[in-house]
Amino acid sequence: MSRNTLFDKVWASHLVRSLPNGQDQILVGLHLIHEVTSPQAFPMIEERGLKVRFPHRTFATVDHIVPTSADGRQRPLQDPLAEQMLQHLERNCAKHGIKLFNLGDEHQGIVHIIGPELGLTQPGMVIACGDSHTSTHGAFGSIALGIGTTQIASVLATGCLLLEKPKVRRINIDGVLKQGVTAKDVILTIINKLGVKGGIGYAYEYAGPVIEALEMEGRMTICNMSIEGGAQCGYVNPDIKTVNYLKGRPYVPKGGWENTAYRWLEYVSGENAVYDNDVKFNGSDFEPIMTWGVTLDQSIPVNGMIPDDSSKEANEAREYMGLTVGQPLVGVPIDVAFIGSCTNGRITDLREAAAIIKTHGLRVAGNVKALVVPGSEQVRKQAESEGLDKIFSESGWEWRGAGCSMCLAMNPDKLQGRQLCASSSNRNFKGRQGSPTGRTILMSPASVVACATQGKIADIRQILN
Amino acid sequence: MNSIIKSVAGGAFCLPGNDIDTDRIIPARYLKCVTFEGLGVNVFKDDRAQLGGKHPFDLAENEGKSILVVDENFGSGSSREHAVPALTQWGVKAIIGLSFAAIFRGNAVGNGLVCVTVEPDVHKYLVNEINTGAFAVHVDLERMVVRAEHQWEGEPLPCAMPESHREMLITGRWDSLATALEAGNAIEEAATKLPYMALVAC
Ligand code: SF4
Repeated sequence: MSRNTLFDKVWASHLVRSLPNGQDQILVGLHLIHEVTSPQAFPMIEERGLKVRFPHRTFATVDHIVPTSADGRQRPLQDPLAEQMLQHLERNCAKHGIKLFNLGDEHQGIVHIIGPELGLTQPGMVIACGDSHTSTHGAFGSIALGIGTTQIASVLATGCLLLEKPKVRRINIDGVLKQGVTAKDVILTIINKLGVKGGIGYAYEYAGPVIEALEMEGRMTICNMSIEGGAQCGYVNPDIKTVNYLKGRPYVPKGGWENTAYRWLEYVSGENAVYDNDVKFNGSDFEPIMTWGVTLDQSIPVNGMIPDDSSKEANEAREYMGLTVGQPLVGVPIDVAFIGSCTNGRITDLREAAAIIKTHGLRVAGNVKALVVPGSEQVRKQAESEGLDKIFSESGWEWRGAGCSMCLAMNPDKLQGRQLCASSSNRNFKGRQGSPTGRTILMSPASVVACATQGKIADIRQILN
Repeated sequence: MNSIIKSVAGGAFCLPGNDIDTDRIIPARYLKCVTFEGLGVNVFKDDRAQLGGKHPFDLAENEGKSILVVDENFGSGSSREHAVPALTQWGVKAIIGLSFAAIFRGNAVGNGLVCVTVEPDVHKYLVNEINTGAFAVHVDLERMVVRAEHQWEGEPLPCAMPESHREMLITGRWDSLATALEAGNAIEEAATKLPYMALVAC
């Protein structure tokens, strides 16, 4: 059993009671909700005559269904089902006194982007959201849990979840990342090595020199995809970068700043911390990596070849993707390039992509539809103030408003037919990007730029060198 | 208090394949809804379309069956609870697998859908029994065993689920909201110890 890790400390400080069946009742101090998974939860509590227990610690936004093109964002939304979902969210928030960052609000955006951006996400919290990528918020040293709708109802009405305490695995990454290797490559590599079910029953602590060297937004990219490795959540111990990132954000206390920062850092895993499991990697060996199949561990270094794997899953994946054993990934033609999502739709992602485009004078290849979708309206504003939107649009990219966009098929941005997308998002599942036969290759935003430029899968290092 | 679920029995069928994610169980376009009604008809919609009637959820011989046998990491990916009513509305009452994704499993117990795991040898045996004409499978949560039934009663083999889930189902207390409510003021007491719980919009 783990002891004195950040996870243990935060868990203990939020423990309401332990139940005889082995579950702990844990207080959730920040509850984030969105339009897709919450509409059914409100009737569940209203039917019992219950109210929202901590409305001032509950925040909502709309992200999955919002169109990202300027004219699509007018109300009523063109899709009546999307409009209905948004109206339910508006009504539920108004009725229960929940702050909603609505379409048109300067803080609207993907829930996992706006939490940190507003300073709602802080070290030492327990955070829940009806969305599996809630693990993103763990980058700040919090326990951040993706939950289902029945659990949303429980958090709304009781402020609590009944949970079994997971085990804690430390993933230590030594070394220094090579040129062209990003936080996205780190997490894709970890999932490749530990498998998509390797994390079942675990919370992941990401540690070591590579993680410490990353800025907050890279750490968010890593924690974001913890769920794709099967883990219940993932986190990074807070440090001076965490504190500096949060300072001055709208929901961070201004008075008593030093005390607040000190309290945050007290949650850091102790030197004598005990983990249930320890895993070590050398980050200096990591390379730009991409998925080739339909699960997250079906991945290879960009200059690798489709593996000779005769499992049922691999056969099915190759057939779905239209790839053959021994075929190099480099050179596979793409139709769409997508930069965005809660994994890679933050300002540093856009800056990095734009810098590569500008420095090397790159243009989108003629056969490719390329989309950049900022993760929040704040990211969009910031990017526009730095002129990034111009760099993108002048080199053939479409510049959009904030939302989940082509990460999943709930808004107008969708793949058509068997189109293949080089994507900075987080899931390569069959049909995920909106066409039942659409194909996804996941990679870093830098790699998406390389592929968009060449119209086929390409190695970013050849552009950088 | 929900209904007490001590055992489930019914016709059984297999859905082979590891890592069957919730995007496949219920594609995202069917999440455009504000209730969980009517999801059952769209369960595995795209997988079924691709197999043109040959998907296990379409085969006539599987109609009316309620015990589903899956492989590893079933229900991975998106947290969408919609996946559970999509399965139960189709008629699934229990799932036996090698492993389940954590959020899916939590969603399942909250809806009274039984998910038990079995060891690989038991799994292999069950799949074989089902494919060779076992007419029913019995999941017994009191003794934590599964049994394949032919004309004769099959041998009881061990299965597992988190003890808390088992207790919730066999006592009918799988309504976690009701259990959490019972903590009463202890909830507010825990909240007052956390300075950030006092934070409001700045
Ligand atoms: S960007 Fe994608 S993964 Fe992230 S919250 Fe939106 S739909 Fe989910």
